[in-house]
Amino acid sequence: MAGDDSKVVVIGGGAVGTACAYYLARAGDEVTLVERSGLGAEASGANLGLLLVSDKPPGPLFELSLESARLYGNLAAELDYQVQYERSGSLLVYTSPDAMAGAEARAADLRSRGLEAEVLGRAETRRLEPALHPGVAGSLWCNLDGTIYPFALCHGYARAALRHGARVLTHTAATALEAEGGRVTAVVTDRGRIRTEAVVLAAGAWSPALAATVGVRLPIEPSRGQMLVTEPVPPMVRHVIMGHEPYVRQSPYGQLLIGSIPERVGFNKATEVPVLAEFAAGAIGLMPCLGGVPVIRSWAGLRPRAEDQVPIIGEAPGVRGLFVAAGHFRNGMGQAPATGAAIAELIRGRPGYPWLEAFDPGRFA
Amino acid sequence: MAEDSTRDSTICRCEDVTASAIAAALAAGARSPTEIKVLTRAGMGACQGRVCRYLVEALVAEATGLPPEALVPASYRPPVRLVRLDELARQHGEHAGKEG
Repeated sequence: MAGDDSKVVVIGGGAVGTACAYYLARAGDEVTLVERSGLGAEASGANLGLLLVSDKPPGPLFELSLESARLYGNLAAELDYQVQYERSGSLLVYTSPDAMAGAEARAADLRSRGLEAEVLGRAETRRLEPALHPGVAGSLWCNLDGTIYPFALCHGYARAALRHGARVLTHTAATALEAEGGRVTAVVTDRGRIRTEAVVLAAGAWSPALAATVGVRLPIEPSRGQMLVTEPVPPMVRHVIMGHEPYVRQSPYGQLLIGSIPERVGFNKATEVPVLAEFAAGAIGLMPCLGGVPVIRSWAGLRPRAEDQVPIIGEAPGVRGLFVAAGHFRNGMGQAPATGAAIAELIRGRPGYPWLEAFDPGRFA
Repeated sequence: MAEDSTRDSTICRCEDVTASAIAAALAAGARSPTEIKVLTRAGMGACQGRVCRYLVEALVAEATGLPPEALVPASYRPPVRLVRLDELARQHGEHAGKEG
């Protein structure tokens, strides 16, 4: 089965890989996606599902998140799949008046970039989120931040790609790339070799090992993020709560999701009590009423952290036809849609996004 | 066991997942207990699959033709027992105290 040819092979069944497969298939390209496990098995299945635009500085990272937020707006209807996108908005919570010093300037900056943002005092903040500590100083509200159910996103993109004629091969591990005369020619998998004209490498923290098989250096390393989830509780957190580690959100299932901070510990997905305890203490500090809520699960994922913490999107230097879509660090969910759309444009020779240049893999050459 | 599950049988009581929802996930190509878990949420609730894990494995085994012992079981995640956030937070205090 894996032995058939394909015009494009996407490696990786996370948010970025499935998005790339979908936008390519929708544009009419013949696409095969290979995933060594199930969809969303790594970083795309081990995150809080936060889609943050307001925390990006002006520039390409912001544009990539903003374009993704725009694509998210209609995604459930477009994919005909409940990806559970909620444009819930966010509250950046300030715990002291001193911390609020820059808040008005920050809100004005976000408004100048087309977002809705407002500085809220204590009373208004607690009106929006009554669970917050009575002593909070205030918050910065922004409209465009939101949340997604990460597994539903991967499956929604993959199913829609299938409808557009893509092949999705899960439990199929890419083990090497092949190139001839400076051009990619095949992907070797544990279920056969797929000859191809183009490869999209969307294997997150595992991308460098595959790129190295054709001599391309990708400076991406794993960055662990731990998180915990509680038993379902009645609706009590409406926005993404941030500004004070950890992040807190409530899922549509009622569970509270709490996490995470980046840790450089290599390919280690263990969870550790001291870190989880810090999250628990931080969450209770923000919302004292959470103390009695039971934790049911903790887990961790490995975010692909590029050396300069900027995603790597574009054709690899020295190997034509090898396109990288990796290194999104903590923003894979929030930047997958525009990454997929941009890759589909690039492969079709129509780079339509002015901000794409900033992500070029050639910057490390 | 799998033969006895009717389509309306509840497999995961914490998340209200029926046998038919699991059948739909299998029909959509899921081949492992973990894929069933993430597609249907069976095993993601308060008991973390302690009740439904073996039922899900039996349904996957039946659909794939693999013996249950050949399946990679869905992962076990800490904590082993429910722990309240404030109990967990106290570990932070103790940890910080040791460092200080």
